[in-house]
Amino acid sequence: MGAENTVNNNEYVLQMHNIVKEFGELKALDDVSLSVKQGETVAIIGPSGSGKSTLLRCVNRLVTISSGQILLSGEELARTDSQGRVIYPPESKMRKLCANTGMVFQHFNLFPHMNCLQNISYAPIKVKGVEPAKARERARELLKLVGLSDKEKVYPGQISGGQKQRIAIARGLAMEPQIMLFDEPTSALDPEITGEVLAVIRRLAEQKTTMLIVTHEMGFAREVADRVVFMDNGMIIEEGPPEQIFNNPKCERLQSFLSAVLS
Amino acid sequence: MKKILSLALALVLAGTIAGCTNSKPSGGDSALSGWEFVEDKGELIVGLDDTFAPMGFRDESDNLVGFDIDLATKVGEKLGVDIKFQPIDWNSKELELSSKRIDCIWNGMSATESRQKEMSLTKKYLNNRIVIMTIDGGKAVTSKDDLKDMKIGTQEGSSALETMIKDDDYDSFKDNISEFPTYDEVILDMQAGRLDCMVVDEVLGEYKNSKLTEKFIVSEINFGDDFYAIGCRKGETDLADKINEAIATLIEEGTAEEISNKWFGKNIVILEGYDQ
Amino acid sequence: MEQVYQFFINLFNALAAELQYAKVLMPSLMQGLIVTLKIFILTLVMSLPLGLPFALGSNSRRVIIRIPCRVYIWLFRGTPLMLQLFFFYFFLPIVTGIKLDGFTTAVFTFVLNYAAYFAEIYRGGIESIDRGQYEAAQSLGLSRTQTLFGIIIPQMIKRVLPPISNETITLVKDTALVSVIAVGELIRVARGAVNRDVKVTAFVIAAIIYLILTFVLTLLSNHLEKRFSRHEAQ
Repeated sequence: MGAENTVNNNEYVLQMHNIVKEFGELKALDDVSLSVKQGETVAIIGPSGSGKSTLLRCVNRLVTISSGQILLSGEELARTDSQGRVIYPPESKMRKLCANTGMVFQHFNLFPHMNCLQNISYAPIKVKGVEPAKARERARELLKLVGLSDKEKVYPGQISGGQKQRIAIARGLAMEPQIMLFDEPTSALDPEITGEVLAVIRRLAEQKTTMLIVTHEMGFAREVADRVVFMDNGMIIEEGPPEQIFNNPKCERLQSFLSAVLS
Repeated sequence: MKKILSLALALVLAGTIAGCTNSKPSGGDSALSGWEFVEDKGELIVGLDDTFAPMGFRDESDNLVGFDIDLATKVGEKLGVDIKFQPIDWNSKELELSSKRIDCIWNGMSATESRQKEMSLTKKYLNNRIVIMTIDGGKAVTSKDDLKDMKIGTQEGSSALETMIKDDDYDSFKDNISEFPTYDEVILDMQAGRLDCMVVDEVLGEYKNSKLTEKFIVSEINFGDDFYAIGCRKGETDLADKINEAIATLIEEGTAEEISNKWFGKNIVILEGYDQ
Repeated sequence: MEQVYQFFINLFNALAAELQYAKVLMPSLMQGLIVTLKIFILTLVMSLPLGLPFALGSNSRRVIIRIPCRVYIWLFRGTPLMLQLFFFYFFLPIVTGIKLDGFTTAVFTFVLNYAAYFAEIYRGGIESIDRGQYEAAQSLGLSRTQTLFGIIIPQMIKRVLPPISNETITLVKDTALVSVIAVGELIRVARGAVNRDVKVTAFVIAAIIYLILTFVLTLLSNHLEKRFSRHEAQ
C-alpha cells in the first residue's frame, strides 16, 4: 500500500545496507545488509550476543548506527556521507519515519498508568492526530484481533504476561506501520503461555503483515517465516527459506547452533 | 486541564505576592539618616519583641500593649511623627536595626556597656535593679557567697548576665550559670527543679512573679542598679537626642509618671545620662 | 474516702480553669494558625510545580542549564532554612535595598527551599522509570514533550507521592521557623501568650493543633496514594 508510489525499489519496505555498529571497541554489527519485502515475514535467529536485537533496534533508531544506510519504504532514515559521518534527518522527520514501524519488546513496556484501550489509542491520537472516538473504535477492533475484547478497561498490572504481550502487539499495530518489529516477543514468558502470543503473530503472517522477528523459538520461525536469517558475531552468516536453513544448513556454525538449540 | 489550572493558580499567587511587595513604600530615602530620615518618612519605626511583657506584648485580643508602647506613643505625639511598631525577633535586633527595617529598639532594653558601644543609646529612661529570685522553700541567697553552690539561670545576652560578669565574685559562680533564650525557659527550668535561682532585672522579675501561683522569693541581696534605654542606629545621635527631649517634656508634664504608675504601681521613670 | 473525693474535686476545678483559660487563648492562637496555614498552602501550591523545571533542568544535557539547576538545588538543600530566612530578610535589604516584609520573605524563602527538595524527589522519580518506557514511546513516534508529560511524569507522580507527603508534613512543622523573622504564626503567638501569662498552656494547645494538622495531611496522602495505585495488580 502506498509503496507503489515511491520511486526506487518500492517492493522493499526495509533496506539496510552495510550497517556497522560499534560500542567502543566492540563491533556489535559488522557490515550487515538486510532487506525486507512488502508482505514478507523474516525471522532472525542466532546465539545471544550475536547482534540480532541490535540490528532490529537500528530500524527505528533505538540504536544509532556507526555507518551504513537505512531506507524505510524507500525513504532515507540514515546515510553515511563521503567523510564517513552518519546523517539522520531532523528530529520531526525522523519521528515520522520511525512511526512507520511498530515495535514489540521482550518486556512488553506497556504504559502502566493507562488501561489497555488507552495504551493502544494514545499514540494514534497524539502522533497521528486521529480523532479520539475513531482511535478508540480502531483500538477495540485490534483488541478483538488479539482476543482481548474484555480487557478494555483493565490496567496492564492486572493481566498476565501473555495478555500483556498481545496488548503490546495491538499497540504497535494501531499506528498502522509498514513493518512490525518483534524483539524476542516470547522470551520473557512462561513456556505454557507463549502459544497465545505466537498464535497472534501467526495470524498476522497469514494476513501478509510485513514483519521482522528476532526469536529463540525455532519451531515457530520455521513455521511462520518466509525467510530465516542466521546471525553470529555481528554478521549474517547464512540466510534462506526455512526448509533450507533448518533441513540443509550449509555452514558449520549454523549446524552447531541448531544442534545445540534443537537437542 | 488540571495542569493548566494549577499553573494558572500558581501564577496568580505569585502575582499577588509581587503585588504586596510593590504596594509597600520603599521605606524612605535611604540616603538620609537619623532624625532627617525619620522626619522625611513621617514615621518612627519602633522595633520590639512583641512577646515581652510588661514592656511590649499582645493582650488577649491581640492588641499591642505595655509600658514602652504607651511611652513611645506619647513620644511620637511630641515629635509629630507616626509611631509604627514593628515586631522583631529579639536575637536579631542588631540586624533589624542595621538593615533599616526599624529605626530604634524600644523594648525594655538595658543600657549595657556593650550596647553603648554598638548603638547610639538615648539617656536612661527607667530605673531598675538586677535581682536574684529563688524558689519558695528552696535554698535562700543571703550573700553572694551562697551562689557558689547554686545553679543559676538567666537570659543570654541580658543585662543581668553582663552585670554578673562584672561582679567581683563572678569567678566563684560562673560555672553555675546556664543561659536561656528567654526568661520563660528559665522559669520553667526553675519549676522543673534544675535551677536554684534566677538573676533577672526587677521590672521583668516582678511581672513574672505576679503571674505565678507559687511565687518566687526576691533575695535580700542584689547585683545593683540597671537602666533601660532606647537604641538607635550607631551614629544617629540626633534621633536619640530628639527622643530624650520628648521624654523630658513628658516627665515635666507628669504623663510619664502616669504611665509608670499604670504599669508598675510606682514611678520609676528617670532621665539620666551615662557620665553620672 | 473524703480525700479521694476532694482530689477529684480539685482535679475537676483545675481542669475547668484550664479550659476557661484555653478559651481565652483561642482567638489569638487561631490568628496564628491562619498565618501558619497561609504560609503552608502558598508554599505548597508554588513549590510543587516549581520543582519540576529544576528537576528536568538538573538532568539536562546542556551544561548551561544543568549546572545552574544543580547549584540551586545544592545551595537550598545544603544550607539551614533558618539561614536562608535570615539572608532574604536581612542581607537582601543591606546589600540590594530590596525590602520584603516578613510574610512575603517567609513564603518566598520557603518556596525556593521546598522547590529544591521537590526537584530532587522528582529527579529520583524520573530516574526510577524504566528505560523501556522511553523506548516504547520513541517506537510509537511520541515526541520528547509528549513522552515526558504523557508517559514519564504520570508514572513519576505515583512513585514520588510517599516522599512528597513526608516533606509536606515536615513543611507544616517548618513553618514554626519563620518566628525568627518575627512573623506572627502559631508558635510565635503561643510564645507570646506563655511570656505574658507565664503558663505553658498555649504551647500545649499549639502542639495539639499541629497534631491535628499532620493527622489530616496523613489521611489525605493515604487517600491519594490509594487513588494512584489503583492500576496495581490485586
